[in-house]
Amino acid sequence: MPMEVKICFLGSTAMNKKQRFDIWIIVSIVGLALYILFLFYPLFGILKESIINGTSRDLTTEYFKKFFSKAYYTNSLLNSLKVTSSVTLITTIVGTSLAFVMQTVKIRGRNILDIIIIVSMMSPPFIGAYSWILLLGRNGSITRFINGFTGIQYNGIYGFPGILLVASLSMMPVIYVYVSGAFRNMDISLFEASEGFGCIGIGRFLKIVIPLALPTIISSALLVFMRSLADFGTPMLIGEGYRTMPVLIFNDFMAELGGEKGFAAAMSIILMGVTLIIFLIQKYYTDKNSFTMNAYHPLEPVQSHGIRQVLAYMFCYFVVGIMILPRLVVVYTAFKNTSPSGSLFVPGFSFASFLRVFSKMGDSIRNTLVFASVAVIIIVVVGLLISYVVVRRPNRLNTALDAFSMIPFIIPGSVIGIAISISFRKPFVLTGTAGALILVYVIRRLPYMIRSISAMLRSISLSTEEAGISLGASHLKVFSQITVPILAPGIMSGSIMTWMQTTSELSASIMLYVANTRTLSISIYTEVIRGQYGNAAALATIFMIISVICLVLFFKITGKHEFNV
Amino acid sequence: MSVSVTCDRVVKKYGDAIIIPDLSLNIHNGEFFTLLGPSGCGKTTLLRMMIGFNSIEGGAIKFDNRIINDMPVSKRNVGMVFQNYAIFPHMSTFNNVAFGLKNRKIPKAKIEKRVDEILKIVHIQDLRDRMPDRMSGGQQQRIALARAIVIEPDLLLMDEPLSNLDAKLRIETRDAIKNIQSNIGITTVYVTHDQEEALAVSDRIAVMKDGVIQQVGTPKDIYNRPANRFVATFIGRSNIIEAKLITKNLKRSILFQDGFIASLDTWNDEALSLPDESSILISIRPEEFIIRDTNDGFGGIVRSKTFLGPNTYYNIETSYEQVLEIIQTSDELHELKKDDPVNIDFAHHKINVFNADGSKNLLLGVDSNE
Ligand SMILES: Nc1ncnc2c1ncn2[C@@H]1O[C@H](COP(=O)(O)OP(=O)(O)OP(=O)(O)O)[C@@H](O)[C@H]1O
Ligand SMILES: [Mg+2]
Repeated sequence: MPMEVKICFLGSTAMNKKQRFDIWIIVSIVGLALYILFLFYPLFGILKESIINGTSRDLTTEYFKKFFSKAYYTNSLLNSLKVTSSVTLITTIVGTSLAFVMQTVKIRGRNILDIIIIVSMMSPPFIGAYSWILLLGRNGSITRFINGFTGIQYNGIYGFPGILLVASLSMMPVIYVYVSGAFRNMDISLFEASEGFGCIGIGRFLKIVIPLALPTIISSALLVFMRSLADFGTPMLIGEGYRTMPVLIFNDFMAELGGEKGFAAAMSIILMGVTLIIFLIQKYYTDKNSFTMNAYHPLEPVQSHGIRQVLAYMFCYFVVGIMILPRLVVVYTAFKNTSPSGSLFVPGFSFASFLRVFSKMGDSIRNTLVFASVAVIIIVVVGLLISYVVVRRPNRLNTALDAFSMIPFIIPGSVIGIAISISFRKPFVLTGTAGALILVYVIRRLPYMIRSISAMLRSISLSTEEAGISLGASHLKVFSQITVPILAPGIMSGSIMTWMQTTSELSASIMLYVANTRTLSISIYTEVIRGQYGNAAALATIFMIISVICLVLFFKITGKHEFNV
Repeated sequence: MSVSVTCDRVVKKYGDAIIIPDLSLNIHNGEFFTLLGPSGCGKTTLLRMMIGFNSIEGGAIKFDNRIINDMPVSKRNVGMVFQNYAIFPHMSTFNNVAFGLKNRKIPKAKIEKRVDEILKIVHIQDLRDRMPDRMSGGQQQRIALARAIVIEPDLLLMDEPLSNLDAKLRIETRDAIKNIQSNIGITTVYVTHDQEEALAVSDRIAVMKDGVIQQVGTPKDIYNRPANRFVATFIGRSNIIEAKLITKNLKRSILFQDGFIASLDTWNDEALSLPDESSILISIRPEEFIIRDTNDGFGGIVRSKTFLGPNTYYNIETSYEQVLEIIQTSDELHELKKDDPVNIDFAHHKINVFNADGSKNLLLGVDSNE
């Protein structure tokens, strides 16, 4: 086919029909086909499973009835909502305060605090859960200390308080990062003006700062709500008897005997319904309340004195200290000496745990690196093409594509795991292969990539591409030699973030892995469950080292300490 | 090889909105041709039809005698300088300028030579290996120009290339563009809504409004003999005065509202065929007024004045209460004061007369079609 490439613009309707057909149409169609195959088909599968009886294959509502008729199940939904709301409330208050103090008061070591916050955001919540078990669990060091000292029989921070602590600490950075961004966009003149009205200190914070940052605070709070509702690792590890929805879904789905896949599917649908409602609220809210602030003289931290300064330091270092403490414990534990089997710690320090995980679980390290890399390559290529057609070729097909690409945002990881698992058994086998894991990585992270590339593309003026065309370059050449290279730095840093977050995926991959497709995060989880704390600590340490390397790379590339999640 | 451009009854529609209803235009080979008009009149649209970024819904655009309506952009060999420069931010000056040549598979050594030549012409040879991100607007503008002309296009298009520059740089770059254009002699279509810029650089100007060409002519023609009221007020400033057409001593004359009569010799056929007492509009530029000591002209009173160095601006109110804007060379001996009564006449051969709705000039010397 001779490629008569002609640029088609917004509203330009009179394009020659035969010239309109070009490579980008193929991209749109293939993109759509991929969404149908890998998103709609599995979601449809899970829906089908939830309304069809597992043995008789008849249409049924029994699974939903079962859920809503037994307190055992409805309580777990209530538990989920309870713990999620509490987490959201705590993180919002503490995260916003932390952001405010860090943005307005000069704190020594601010960069390091920032990096710690970001590292804790990047590392998966279940590592946090595991670390707190080491500290405050039944056998945790603090627990033993308290019990030995006071003689009380504290049984460890399991259940509701445990989930609350761990989830709050791992979600707080999300609020911190977003809200700091909002504060940075506030003009210092707003502050000075309010000072003129005698409005300073806490009063100013509540009357001027909070209302201005409110849209950001609320939308990031809703984001935290969705994420923590879907969080599986934390309640699984530290929740013990405290059942939440993702745990229940997992147990029912994975139970070798007696578990009912249809029931797990029905619960997934219910969980998805809740997430969808929150998502719609968030969308409605941000659509209505978004305004842009532009700071000519952005807020800058100023030197403060006396009690104010002492309080500010104490607050920041305390919060960040609690964030970093469990990670330090993990590293410490990783170097503790163990018995040869690894199940017991013995006095002294050694590399025993590391040696053991390298010899026995080297494959999970390798898998992590390989799967995440393959996934990121796919995410970048697909994300780039889809973003391009969505931004540069607005038509109905691509508007639909744009909408579809955002769907995975609202599907909890465990639901994606189940959906893939039940949909790709026969004849198209993915379940049990590395492909399944890579697929969920792609599904879960692609929306973020599309969102970030689209934003970058919109900031490249169309005339830059037109200039290329007018200089005789073909459309593909403009794409590959102008558009892509301009996007490259952004894509590069986005890829590192994506890669990092892909490696920490647990809630979907836990449903899909088999012995030889174990990844680091899965291994950490299983080692904790098996009580192999030394191994888990060593793996988690390796994981954290990888994360820090990624972060350093990211900062090197972007040259700044800011980013969006 | 430079080409001439002919627009033959060209139509542009976006959906149901007709942006250009029926436009014809001849642009000569090698000329610096400017499209001038208010915002939204369709200048950019027409330019983009020429390069091929916009489709053509009717009529034809020809380069020399070739119809290019359906020719792809890459085959038209048209260079374009964009309003925002559209520099490739990831390429050095050299690579930006060389981009078009590389697409033409020209040997490397030759590319180097051509690029260096052009960089010298636009005076940015010192920036050859720099990245564009820290460059000034004027420097980026020159890269954009170099990049467009290095491919030796048949036609060069510039869409408000100076609008992002500050006033001083605008004049400097404007002169540079004019010089470069006349040196390489390439047909150039230039878009602007700045009339002073248009007057300064153009061989000919087409004044557009709502997708319709109002007048085509040299800057001098357009300034001196605007085809209609719109052109008279859009290019330069003009006082529009209502008056009547009469015949006095067998000569067509103008009867002003306060009774002053001025006779002219340069009426066109249209004016001669109008009945006596027809309403007409007189267009007089501020500098065309003459303040007289005698009783010639019409009477008025100085309402305010502004000293602007070489010139002084006066606002003078006539007896029938129209305020006129008048410019006089500053002259201490003949300086007028506020509330002075004056008699104002005008250079009769310079004024323009339009019919009652302002759509036609009633004097000889206007040729709106070429
Ligand atoms: N893609 C489009 N779809 C619909 N209408 C359009 C499109 N592009 C331009 N128009 C309309 O066509 C008309 C002419 O636009 P154009 O950009 O050519 O104006 P212009 O003379 O270049 O103005 P300016 O001096 O502001 O650049 C405007 O009314 C504009 O709204
Ligand atoms: Mg324009």
